[in-house]
Amino acid sequence: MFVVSASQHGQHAVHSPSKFVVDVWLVIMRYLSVLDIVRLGSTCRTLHEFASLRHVWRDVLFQHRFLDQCYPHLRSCTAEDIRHQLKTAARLDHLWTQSSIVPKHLYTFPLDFPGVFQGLKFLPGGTWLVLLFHCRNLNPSRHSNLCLMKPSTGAGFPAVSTTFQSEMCWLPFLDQDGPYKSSRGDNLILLRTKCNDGSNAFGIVHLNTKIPSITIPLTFRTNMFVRNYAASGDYIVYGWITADRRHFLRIMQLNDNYDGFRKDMTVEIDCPKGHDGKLRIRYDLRLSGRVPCILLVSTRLMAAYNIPSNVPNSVDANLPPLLTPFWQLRPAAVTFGRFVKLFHEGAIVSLYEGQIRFIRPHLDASEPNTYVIEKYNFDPPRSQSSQWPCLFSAQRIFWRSSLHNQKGTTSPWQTTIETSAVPENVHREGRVLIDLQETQTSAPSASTRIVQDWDELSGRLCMRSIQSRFTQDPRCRKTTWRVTLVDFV
Amino acid sequence: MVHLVTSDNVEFVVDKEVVERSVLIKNMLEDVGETDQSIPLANVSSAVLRKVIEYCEHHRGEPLPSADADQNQDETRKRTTDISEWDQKFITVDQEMLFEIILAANYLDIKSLLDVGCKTVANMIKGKTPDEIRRLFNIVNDFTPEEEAQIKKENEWAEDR
Repeated sequence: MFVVSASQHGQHAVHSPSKFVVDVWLVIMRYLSVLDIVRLGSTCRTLHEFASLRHVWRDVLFQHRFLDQCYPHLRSCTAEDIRHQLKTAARLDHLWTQSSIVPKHLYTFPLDFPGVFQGLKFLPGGTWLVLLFHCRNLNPSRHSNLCLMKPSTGAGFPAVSTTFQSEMCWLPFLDQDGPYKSSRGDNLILLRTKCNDGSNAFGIVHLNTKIPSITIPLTFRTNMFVRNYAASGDYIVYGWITADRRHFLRIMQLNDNYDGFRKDMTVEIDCPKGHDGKLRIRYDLRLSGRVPCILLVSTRLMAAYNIPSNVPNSVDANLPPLLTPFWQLRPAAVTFGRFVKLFHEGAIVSLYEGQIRFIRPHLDASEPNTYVIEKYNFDPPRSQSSQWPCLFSAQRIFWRSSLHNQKGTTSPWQTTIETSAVPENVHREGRVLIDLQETQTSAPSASTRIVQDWDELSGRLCMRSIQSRFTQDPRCRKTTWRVTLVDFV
Repeated sequence: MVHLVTSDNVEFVVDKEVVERSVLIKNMLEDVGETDQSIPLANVSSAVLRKVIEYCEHHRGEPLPSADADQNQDETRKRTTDISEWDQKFITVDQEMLFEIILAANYLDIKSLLDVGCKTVANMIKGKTPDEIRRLFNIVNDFTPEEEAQIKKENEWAEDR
């Protein structure tokens, strides 16, 4: 602390804010954006040091509109990692305000595998991809092949991969399967399948990128008719409806090795009865708040339930404890529409009367609400089939559009992807176009290009184009693709 | 009534309720108990203390922010740089005075005044380039050319906004 008398007024150097103690700068930085903090930190050494403190970046992270909620593992990252992530997010936000987006890098690699495709997803962070395919030739008794790979993204980035063959035949990846981060930052994915005896099996896959290796430390089965399920952090939940239309949930918390449960409880939840067998239900685990909770979403209802810390073991399995919602929303006149996607702690994407809506229930607020509903019109109206040439992410939409109206000279393998950031607060009509011209590849037919996955953390898009699907002979089925990774920052 | 003496030896006599918006003085009074002795504030000049007291007078009787307010995530998620009208008018002072008020608020531990001052500084920084920020606050660039090149490279993305 320095002392100045009133007589020294006018001598700027003495009053320089570089004399502020760190506490004052910390308070000032609480009110600055990522960009402003970075710029402030490039003015002098002292401020550079202050602007690199973990405290500052954790604080920015907590204020971010979705990063902290959707990716809670970031909280335990280093200051440098948190800063890098927030910078990436700020760059993406800025890019999406532009009228057109030019990707930073674009690389293509061939992906051949002797089998039938079941799924290809980014691990959070975009550096690694996980592939699931089925093949009876490689190992007849273990024909589900999981492949963890880090594609080479230029010189100095060697490609790495490892493959795991499972004795169980897993179903294709769904949105709620992951990959997601456990509370300790490990990459997990939940697989599920139907067994011959009619039971459902789930498997926890640990995707270890350090070695790299793939293990399935835990599989578990249930004879219930599982309506839906969700997995996030260390929690897994699935639900079913009994013959007398009561709604039950099994809530499990994984142990530290992911090979067993620390907690495993069955509860009944208080919600309106569905009609026989047709009730579409989705769950979302919301773990970022002070109390972990479950969000139930169906066409006419949203309801949130706190996960009890402990449930006494009931003697009668038909009488589990009843959970009542701490918040629910039942619109009287309209329904939420058909749910297209549900993102963990992010948006619920629904289709209603030709409109795409992003619904964001805020459960951590002192008054839980879901007023944050963003509407998005497709123009011209797109097909409403479930097989849209679209990719939704919690924050963005990508879809392919043809270039037929533009100059007739456009090369046939030019792909245009239209994308939209989900508008925040204000309705932003501006669509942005990404033009991808791949001159180095032979011309794959544009109609077989699929926008496969988007990683919000790294700002990386994955696309694939099918060159040949498989030969006539089913014994030597082979999939040959070109996978293109597009970096936006 | 509490007696305060500033760095330039001016004595202020202030209502206990008003001066207790300063956590520093509040704790001090709790430790010492009722006393007629004046409290010396070696770090605050009379011009600044006059402003600080004006602020405390105006906000007299308002609830003090609780110590654990920072831990409250709901609150931090909705942080804005909005300043109320009266505070806005109050803080419209020259830059030296602004910095002095911030330092005094930090020293005297008056959280709401510190926030108002820091929000004002933050609003001044917003949208400015590093050069503009240096000029605004007379910050001396003490990076070596190598360090500066490194920082420039890291922050390339922030250049053309």
